[in-house]
Amino acid sequence: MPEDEQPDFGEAGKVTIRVENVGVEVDLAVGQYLFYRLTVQGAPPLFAWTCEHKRRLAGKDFQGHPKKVYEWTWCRGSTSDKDANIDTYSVGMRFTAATKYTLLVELRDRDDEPIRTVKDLDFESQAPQDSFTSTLDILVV
Amino acid sequence: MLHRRTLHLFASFTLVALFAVSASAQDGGCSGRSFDIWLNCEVARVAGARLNQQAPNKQAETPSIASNSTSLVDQTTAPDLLGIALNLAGMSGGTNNTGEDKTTIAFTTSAYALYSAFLQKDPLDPAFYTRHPNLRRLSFTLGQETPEGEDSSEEDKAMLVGVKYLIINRRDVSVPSNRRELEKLNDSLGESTMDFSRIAAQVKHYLYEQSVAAENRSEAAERDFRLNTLNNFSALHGQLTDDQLKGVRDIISDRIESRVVLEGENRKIVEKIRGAPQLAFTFQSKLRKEDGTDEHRAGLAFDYGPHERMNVTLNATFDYADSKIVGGDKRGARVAGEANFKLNRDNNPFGGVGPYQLAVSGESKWMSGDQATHTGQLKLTIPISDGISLPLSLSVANRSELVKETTVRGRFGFSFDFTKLFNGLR
Repeated sequence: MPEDEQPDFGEAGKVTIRVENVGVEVDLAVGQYLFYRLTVQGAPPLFAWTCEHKRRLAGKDFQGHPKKVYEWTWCRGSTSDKDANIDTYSVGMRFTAATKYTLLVELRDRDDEPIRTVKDLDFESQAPQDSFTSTLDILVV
Repeated sequence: MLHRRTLHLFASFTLVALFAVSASAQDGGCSGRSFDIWLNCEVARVAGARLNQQAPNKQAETPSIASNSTSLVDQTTAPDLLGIALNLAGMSGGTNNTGEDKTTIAFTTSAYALYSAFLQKDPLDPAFYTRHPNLRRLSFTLGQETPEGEDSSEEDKAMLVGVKYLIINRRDVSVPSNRRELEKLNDSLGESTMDFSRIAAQVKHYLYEQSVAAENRSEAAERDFRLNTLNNFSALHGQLTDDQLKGVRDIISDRIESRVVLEGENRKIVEKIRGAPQLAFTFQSKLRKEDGTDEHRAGLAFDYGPHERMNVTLNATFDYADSKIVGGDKRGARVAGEANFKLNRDNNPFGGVGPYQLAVSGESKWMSGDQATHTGQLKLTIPISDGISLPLSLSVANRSELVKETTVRGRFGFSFDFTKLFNGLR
């Protein structure tokens, strides 16, 4: 199969990249934090957000699950979310029932204003055995 | 800023120098479009290999009552949003023109699709989708059958009308029992995602160490590598040596167990949901103008998947031909069965999305005043792209309804599942 016809992941996965950064620097001292938004299409989503040290969130932890939009933050108003100065965080998404996820990650200032978009991607698949994990290195300044 | 730029330049230079040692190395096909796409592919390969060591059924086709249907049986479920089926005039042998060469187009939609359109709600919103599984039990078909050829008359044209209601609905992922099954994956998904974070961190560190000589390494240089160099992963990917790839795969192998467990659990749950029994009541009518005979079919359709790649469908119906000629009515019973085999997994090796499917089916009809009719069919469904497929069928009957001799008929058409197409377009 020619490379341009191969799925980006799994059996039938497609990734649309608008913005992608492997890592982001966050200056906690000036109140910067990360904002995550995961938008879902299809049947109930299955996803998890973890760092290298522990599981942090899953879809079932959100009020109103299953729903279309899931939002959470990292180190907003506090540094207690931080486990290490360099840590890899991941959003693991399964396509067992959901067929499309859109992941947006923004670096924001203490006034909740976006400084820049760190990630903005679509992941889609019709194959229920497919999954994708999107990683982000968070480097504390 | 100058310091950072110098670091970046230095890292880029050493990368090219060190990875260029073996520019001819192949990674076996994982795309290097981005670091995440590449690492997901590598992890899936290692997990797939470990898993192997250890160890169709939404009808978008025309209903069976259509003369030129590529399907002898009716399946229990219809597309969630909209399905369009186009069956072109058949290729017949064994008889002369029997008048049965017809082109059929049929649209199928569900009460769920109509309700979401009425409310102007996104039908693929998980909350809305989960709230209304019962609306997906009810589906409607509307179509037209047009005869081909010069001899065809207006009364040979027919309108197809159908309704289907799922009495037992166990394949909808949003019904509570299936949602409970899916929630069981949460623990293993959390564990597997955490291990993925660790693998990604170790692989990034490994690639950094491969790119910078020991005496030049520092925390600042590694930060720069993660913040900048890896963003242009395709350049680095093309220069990975076989030894470096082996190093990456060794890191993955050390932490792959949770992923293997997750894939195994996911496969079992998908198999269980896809193969769950379904029972539907179906009613179809073929209505003709003027003096043409109307045909009606009512009965039950049952689906069951005894194996991951196999689905069995059974139909039992009462058929009624309502003739405008006094005394010309016919009544009878019909039974049909189909065994459908997926020839490959959801991907297929020749391009296209979805598996090739081979179906073997048979149908027997006993109508009043007629001899029994028995038909056998072989059908190959070729996936063209996401949501579009091409069914090809070859059927053999002991006699057609009009001619008392054996007939052989080839049929083909297209079917479109707009749930998949719609999803792909968004």
